[in-house]
This record gives sequence, structure tokens and C-alpha cells, in this order.
Amino acid sequence: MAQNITESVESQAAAGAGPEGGACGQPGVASLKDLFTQLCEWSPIGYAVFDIHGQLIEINEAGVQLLGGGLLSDWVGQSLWPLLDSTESERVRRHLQEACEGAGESGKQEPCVVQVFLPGEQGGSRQLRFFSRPHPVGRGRLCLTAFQDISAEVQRRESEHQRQAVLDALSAHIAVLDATGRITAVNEAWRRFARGNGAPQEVESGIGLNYIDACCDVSAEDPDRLAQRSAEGIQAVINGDTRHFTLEYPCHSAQNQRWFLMSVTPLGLESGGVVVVHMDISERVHAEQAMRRRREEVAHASRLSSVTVLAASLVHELSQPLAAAQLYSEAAATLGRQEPLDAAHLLSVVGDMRGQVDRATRIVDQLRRFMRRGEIKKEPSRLEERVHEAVALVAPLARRKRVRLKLDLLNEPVIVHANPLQVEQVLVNLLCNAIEAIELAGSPVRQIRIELERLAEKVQVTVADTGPGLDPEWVPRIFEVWETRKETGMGMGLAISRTIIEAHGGKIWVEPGSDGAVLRFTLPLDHEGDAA
Amino acid sequence: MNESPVVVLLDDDPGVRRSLSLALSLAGYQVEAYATAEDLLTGLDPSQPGCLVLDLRMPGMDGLEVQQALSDRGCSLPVIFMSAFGDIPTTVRALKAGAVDFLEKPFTTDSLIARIEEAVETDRRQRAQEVLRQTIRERAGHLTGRESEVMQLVTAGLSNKDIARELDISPRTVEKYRARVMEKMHADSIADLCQMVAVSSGLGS
Repeated sequence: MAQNITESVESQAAAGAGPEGGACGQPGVASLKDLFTQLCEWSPIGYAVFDIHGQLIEINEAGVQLLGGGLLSDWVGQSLWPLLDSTESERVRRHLQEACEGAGESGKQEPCVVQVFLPGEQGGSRQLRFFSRPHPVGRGRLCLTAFQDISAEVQRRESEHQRQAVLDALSAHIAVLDATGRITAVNEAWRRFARGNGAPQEVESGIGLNYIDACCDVSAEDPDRLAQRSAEGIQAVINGDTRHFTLEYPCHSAQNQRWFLMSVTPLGLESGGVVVVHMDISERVHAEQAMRRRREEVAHASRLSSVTVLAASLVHELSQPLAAAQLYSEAAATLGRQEPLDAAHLLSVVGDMRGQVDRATRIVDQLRRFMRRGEIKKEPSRLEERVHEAVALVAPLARRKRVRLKLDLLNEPVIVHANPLQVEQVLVNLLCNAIEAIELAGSPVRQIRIELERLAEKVQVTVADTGPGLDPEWVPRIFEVWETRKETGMGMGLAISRTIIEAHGGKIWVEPGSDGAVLRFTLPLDHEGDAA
Repeated sequence: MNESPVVVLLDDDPGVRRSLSLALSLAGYQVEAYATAEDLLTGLDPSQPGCLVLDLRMPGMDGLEVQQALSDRGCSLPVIFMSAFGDIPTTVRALKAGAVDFLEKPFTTDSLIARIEEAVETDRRQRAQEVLRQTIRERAGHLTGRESEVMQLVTAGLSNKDIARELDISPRTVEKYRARVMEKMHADSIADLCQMVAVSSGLGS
């Protein structure tokens, strides 16, 4: 029976080989048939004839190999069921049955992909895809089936799926860019974020858009140059100028204050390309802000406590212009009553009075500024201005205690990235300590030197007094909370100064081996501020 | 004595110094203003009547030290201190050293003038007293030793008889010395003479 069918298949194949084919005996036709036969043997495609019960009627050598090898003759009359698990068997059975019954004739029958477990020592499994058509002769009973090994394809697809699943599972927004900056893939978080930001559905994923161009487009409305910096960073990683680029940036929505960290790394492919990851770092930034707020609260309390030390001298400082303004105003009233009226004199007195009122206002403004609850943010700030502000606050106390303040500043502006009030506070604290040390010791030379020095990447501030100097036993604990030898104050001044300086990325220390006390601190220079 | 009083100012703050000078000039005072204690000590003529208006706290020599330096030189011009934030110990020291008054800055021209008037009056009285003391001492200088002794005993309240016994002379001689003392001292009565002795010894007011 099997032999018959084979014959009929062969005749069918010969008939289909071409209208010019004609009789079997011709050499051209015979060789074409041979060629097809050879092709069947060489190709890595399995060809088989199954009956409606799934029994192999015919199979080629490649098919045998795909099913795990063995003698071709041994396979004829076998079924695939031993190679399949029960659900797979059921699917294959249905597939072959449908094919035999003509389902594949219209070309609508889907190929069937199954996993076969290979018999024998080598074991393992492979994915086979079955294409089946009804047998032209044995319709209803037989089908012709071609099958191929698609394990590699499945694996590739699976690993792609897996990669996408991993990407989708990540909460960071991820996009893959090609070497021109075009988006080639994104993850679910990216899409969700785009949806949340009201991106139109067709550009939701952004795939196909050029990321760098998009950055350049918004840079017009980008005061902090964030988009421009992102574009430059991505380009730098694409060009291979750098292996890694990161940028923190705010991206606030109507409801939430959000911050993101953008990170760009090379894809590592021949063709180039990079991975852009946007991570939501709002929680970290909020925590940092909360910490900065707490620090500023403590700093604020400490500023208020500095003000109590300065209060008497500030009252004195304020009473001078007030006294002068009072006297000028009364003098103006007297001049106004005089006959004949000397308007020029009167006006000049009013001008003097105004000058004194301005002077009082400046003192009040300075004090109010120092006493207010400060901002928590840092900004590019001129250090010499901070020194002048601090010195202005402390100068009345210094005058009262007859201590000379000597400023040794730099010729060019020094810009630090700092919270201005907090830096002034550190200076006020150091100056008040120095004045008190000189006063308590009754030092004959009464001078404090404030010096700025520019070092590599940072600036060093020195506050040196002509007091008795610090007890060496005391020095190691001088920056600790509650450690104080003063009768006034809570002993928090230097501890808070240290917290402030360290939060600015600087250091504060006592310079050993000097006659008076020499306290130094450093602050990192602000390079962007320099450039601006 | 007949010179008009001068108000001498000392304040290192130019605004205060200039406004004070102006206000006092407009009120009719002759004003002499100094910015530093050193300038004041060099420039001040202690013989001119008036008063001093000093800022209590200044860099260099402060008001209290100026007061001390002036007193060391025998200058007795009354001192009004101006202060912005006078603490109690400083105030006590200043008052002990003879300050007339304290003014807290800021103050009105009128309140300053009231104090200047008092100080000038004090100065005038002190100067008059000083002149009187000088006159009495001059007159007493013309007394002989015996006349001086008699004056001491008379003003101590002894009777002629007691004095005669004390000095071992006759009551009539005592009477003679006593008349000469009254004449030389330009005294109208014993009470007058007592007053003069008190003034010259610094007890009188």
C-alpha cells in the first residue's frame, strides 16, 4: 500500500514539473525528477506523508534527521506521538487531520509549531514548524507535510520577548537609540510616561523619532539648557567620546514635583547606538530636600542665636543714624520756621536726614535678611559678597570690642555653588568666636584677618585671630555639638558650621601651630558660574 | 566768666556729630565738635565755660576715658554722656566720675537742650563758687598768724572769753583781732564769716 502511494506521489510530482515535461522517458524530465529528489535529500527541510491518524507513510532523510535520526525504514509506519507530550500530540493530530480533510487547500491553515523531544542518547528537544496540505491523491486520508527546525528562530524570538519583558518590568523609562539618535525601541514605562504626559497615541512610543533633534527643538524654551545638555551628552556617548553620561533634571507635573536621572550608555553593537534610561529619583530628591530643610531650620535657629550675640552692638549701630535723623528733622523744622526761609539749607538738611534714614534701613535690611528663614537651594554666589555681608553684621561688635577686621580678598570674583545665607552664617560664627576670644583674653593686639585663597577646584577661607589660640586638648572636640567653653551660646555654632560646610562639599578645620586661633574652610568653586 | 558757654561735642559718627552741631547751633549755642578723643584733649580750652557732650562708646579712647583724662587735668566741665546701649556698670562708673547726665540715642533736641542748660548752669555755679573761693583765700592770705587763729576759733563757735583763755590773751585783745579779721575778710557778720570759711575749705555750696 505504501509503495502504491509513493508511486502516485512520484507521478504526480512529475506531472506537476511542467507542461513541457511530457513522457517519463525523456532525459531532461528524468534529470529534473532526480534534481528534485536530490533537493529533497539535501535540504534541511523534512518532507513527509502522514495518514489521517498521524502515521508516517513516507519521509525523507532530512526529515528523519529532524526527528532525531535513525533508519529511514524504521520510521515508516511510526507516528510522532512518542516524541510529543500529550497536549502537543493533540495539536499535531488535529493539524494533520485538518490537513488531510482539506483545510490547508485554501492556504488558510496555519502552520503548527511543536516541540519534539528527541529520542536516543543525544536527547534534547527542538521546535519544528509543520506546513501541511491535503494529499492530491489520498485526499481525506493523507496529507503532504513539510517541516523545518525553527528552534533558533524561536529562541531568538523568546530572548527578544524576554528582553522586552525585562525592559517592560523595569520602572525606569528606557529607550534604545541607533547611531543617528533615532529611537528604535522603548519599554512599557516609557510608553506609560508618554501617555501620562499626553503624548498623541501615534508617537506614544516615540519609535522612529530622532531623540537628539527633539532635544534641540525644545532647547529654545530651556533656561537651564537641560535639553541641550542631554543632546550633547547623547551625542558624546554615540561618538564614543565618553562611556557614560548622566544628568539630573526636574520634570514637574501639575500634581507632583518630580525629578529624573537621565543615564546614557553605549549599546555595544557594531552599528553603534545607545541606551537612554530615565529614572525617577523624586523620592531621593525629596529626601535630600527634607534633609536640607532640616539643616536650614537648625541653621536658622543658630543664626537667631548669633543675632543675640550681635544684638547690643546692632542696637548701637542702629541708634546712630536714628539719633542723627531725629536731630536733622528737628533742625529742619527750626529752619522751616525761620524768616527769611533759606530753602537751600533746609533742603540740604532734609537730604542729610534722608541719608541717615537710608543708613538705618540698610542695617535693618541686613539684619532681617540674616534672621529670615532661608532658602534651601544653592546657587552660584560670589564669595567676597558673602564675606562683606558677614563683616557688615559683625563690624559693630568688632568696633565695640575694638577689634580690627582685616580683609585679604582676591582681585577677581570667586564664585561658589552655595547657599549664601548659610555661608555668611559660618563666617559670622567664626568672627564672633574670634572677637570673643580676643575680648576674654584681653589681647593687646586685637585683629582678625579674613583671607580668601584660590586653590585648584576650590577656595580656602581663613579666619585668623590674635587671641590666645585654642587649647590643643580642646581642638579635636571643637566641632562637636554642645561642646562649648563659652558662657553664652549653646555650643552649636561650630557644629552647625561644620554641617553647613560639609553639606556644601567643603571641609572646616583648625590650623595647628599658630599663635592665635586659625580656622579654615574650603568650598568647591562653581565652574558653570565662572563661565557664565 | 562773662564768655558765652560753649558746648563741646565728641562723637566719632559723622552723621551724629554733624546733626548735633547743626541742632545746637540753631538753638543758639556755640558748638565745638570733635571726632576723636585725642583731638578733643588737644583742642579743648578748659577755662571756657560750658559743658561736654560725649559719646560713651567709641573706638580708641571712649567717653569714660576722656572724662578721666579731663578730670586728671583739673578740668571740671560737666559731662553729658550719650549712649546707645548703656549697661549698668558703665553708667555707674560714669556717674561716680561726675557725669551730669545720660541720654540714650536717639533723643530729641529739646531733651538734650534741657540737659545742656542744667549742665551749663552747674558749670556757671561751679565757676562762681571757684571765683568766690579764690577771693576768700586771697583775703585770708592777708591775715596775720594770730588773726587766722582767732578766725578759726570764732568760726568754730567759741566765745571771746573762751578764745582769750585758749590763746592766753585778754578778751579785749581778742575783740581787737576779731574786728580786724572782719574787716580784712569783708565779712558783715559772724554768719558771713562762717560761710566764707566753709566755702574756702570746700564745704560750702
